[in-house]
Amino acid sequence: MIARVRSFVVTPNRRGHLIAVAILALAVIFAPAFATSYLMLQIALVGVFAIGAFGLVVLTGHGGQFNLGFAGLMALGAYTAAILQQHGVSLTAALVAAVAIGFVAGALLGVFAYWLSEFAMAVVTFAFGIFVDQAVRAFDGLTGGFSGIVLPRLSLNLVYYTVWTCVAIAALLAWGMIAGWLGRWLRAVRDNAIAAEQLGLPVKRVKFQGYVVTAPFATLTGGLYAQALGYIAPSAFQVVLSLAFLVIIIVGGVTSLWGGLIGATLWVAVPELTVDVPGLYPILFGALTVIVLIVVPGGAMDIPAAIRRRMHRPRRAGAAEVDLSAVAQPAGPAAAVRERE
Amino acid sequence: MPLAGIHVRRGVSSLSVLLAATALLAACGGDTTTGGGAPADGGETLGPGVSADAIELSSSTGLTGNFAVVTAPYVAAAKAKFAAVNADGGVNGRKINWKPVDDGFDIQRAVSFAQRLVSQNKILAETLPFGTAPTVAKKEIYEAAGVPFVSLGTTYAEVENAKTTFGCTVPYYSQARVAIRYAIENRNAKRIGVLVYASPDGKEVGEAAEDEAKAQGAEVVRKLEYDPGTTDFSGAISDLRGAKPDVVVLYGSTPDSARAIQAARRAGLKVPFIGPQTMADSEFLRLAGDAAEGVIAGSPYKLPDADDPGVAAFRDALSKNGDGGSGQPTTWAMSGYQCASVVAAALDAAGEQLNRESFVKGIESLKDFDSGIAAPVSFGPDDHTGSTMALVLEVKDGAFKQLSDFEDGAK
Repeated sequence: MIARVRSFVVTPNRRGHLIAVAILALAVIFAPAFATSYLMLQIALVGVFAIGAFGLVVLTGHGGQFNLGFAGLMALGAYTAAILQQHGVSLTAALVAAVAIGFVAGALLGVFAYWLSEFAMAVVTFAFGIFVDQAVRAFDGLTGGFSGIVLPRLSLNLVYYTVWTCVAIAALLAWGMIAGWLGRWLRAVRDNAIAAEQLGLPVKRVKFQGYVVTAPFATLTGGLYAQALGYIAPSAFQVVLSLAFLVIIIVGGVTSLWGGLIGATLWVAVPELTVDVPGLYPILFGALTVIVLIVVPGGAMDIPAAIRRRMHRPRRAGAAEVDLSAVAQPAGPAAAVRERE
Repeated sequence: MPLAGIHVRRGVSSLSVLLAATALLAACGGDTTTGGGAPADGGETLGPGVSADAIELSSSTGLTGNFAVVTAPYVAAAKAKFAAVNADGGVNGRKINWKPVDDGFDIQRAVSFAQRLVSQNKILAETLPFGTAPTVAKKEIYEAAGVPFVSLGTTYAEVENAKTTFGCTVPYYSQARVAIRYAIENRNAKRIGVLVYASPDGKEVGEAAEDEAKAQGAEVVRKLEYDPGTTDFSGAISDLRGAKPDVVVLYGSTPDSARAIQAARRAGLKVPFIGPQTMADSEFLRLAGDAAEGVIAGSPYKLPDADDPGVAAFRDALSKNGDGGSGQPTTWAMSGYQCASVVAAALDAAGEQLNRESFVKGIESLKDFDSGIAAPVSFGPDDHTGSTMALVLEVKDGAFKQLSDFEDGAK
């Protein structure tokens, strides 16, 4: 057992990540001792958005599937948790219920993936978001309609540690999915669905499973978002929020959990840091998204590698010149195989 | 081992981005110091944001977003009022520094603002926010922290069961109800159509139509809501037309209201449109053009061009301290002026030893306070809605004409 743990930890890439995770965990655990309530709220919000981003990293980054109904799923989780809490249900049970309804909603959405293409699924999920929005307004006896729901007041410490406990669990689950069979199947379907089918992969079922297992990330995000804000209303879950999550993973790194966390951090921090300049942050995010897509398609996570590639590029690129450094530098699947060996 | 180095660097560089952002936010959020300004005369009872010569106030409001067109004159007029107070020596020798911050009508940003204000503890109170949902969200934080919160008070929901939250103007419900009553009594309106913006304030305007219809023996024949961002009202108008209403109660942002009425006129729906302050504004006249003719609106304020000493003082303050093009004497500017007047009066009533408790008591002590542009407002420990009085205006020949004096539109 010890040997297995050791072999897991000493793998070079894992060791780097584990060091970073350990430092992050310590920072998160001890931050409340030093942080103001404002900073704690912001760090909690980073965690909330990171959980959603993890789900999209799995579904969109590794699976190539779209979910433009992310805000609708969040609303579903938020209202489920809030309504239960209004009736005296504990926070933990309310969040478990939010996750459970995520599986149900994910299955309902995923069923369409048996028949529809990725782009059609984008439309279906978008429509789902609108449906949830309208349902929240229609059932105003339950949801408070436009007036929303004021949640039972919880201490910020409780919200903070609950959020980051959920972040840890969500990150582990997402990592397990990416590293396991589901991740491999999702990537195979993303890269070439026809080839994957020829190899015997149940492509439609894989897509279905992708939606089922990632929707709870969104509903949990919604449930925690409600705790952090203390108040929810339909205006908190507009369609632009679904697009925000796409921006988060694009800016951070569409296939990386670290990227999801970085994107979430930027999404929370930039509006706060530019609060004195009205209207600046949407422009910054718009520009950042375009720049990332053109310059570093791998997102913020790819910036160090992109810089290294630049540094190793020959000064004058000529047709006859060969970039030997690129050959010498281990990269790509071959390197990954070597690394495992 | 270069590969190991790369991955270690990658993990650590990811972390460094997170920590850098956190450090920046920490700097942005400030510290947890409990002190406000320096004590004026050794008094330890001065509250946060109060010094010998200044009072720090702030608010988060939608300087960008769907309602930004009305927040610009609102903010400009509030600044003009505070500047006028400061020019007259301030309040008990202290200048009022009011700093509005943009939240884009976003609940998350509004909550963050409130948490920062509570956390920094360098501001006496949040005064003059704009936007119902963000205001309701912030209210919970301020009530728990005992921070005074003087909102526009456009919905009853904003001040329900409040200890430190106050509304300084008239809820849309009351504004709309006064106008609807006028239409039923004077225009023989028996069948009422309703089209409201999907929001807590829109919900209350819809309730005003139902309540007044019930009280007067009229009937709401069709009630529709429209979503934020709607630009095409033809479907809703067609639906309303089918219900054959005598009048239509309309509530939305000023640009939305103008678009909806234009769509109605194009579709041949010629009945009078009735609404609250959102349609009692010169910006509405400009945007709606000829389609505005016949609109009946409830307004908490006298006409901006009225021959009245209070309104003249408002125009004077705006012309001296207004913010360029934003400083036009519109009804939204009057909202800003009204709230700033209430805040200045409450600060004065709080006395020399200004802190959060005395400020709350100062507001609650205001009785029949007259800003000169609206009906007098009164507060009390159990009454945090300043006023429910509104007058009725009608658009005739491209201008607003006053149809009634101030009447009560209480819920």
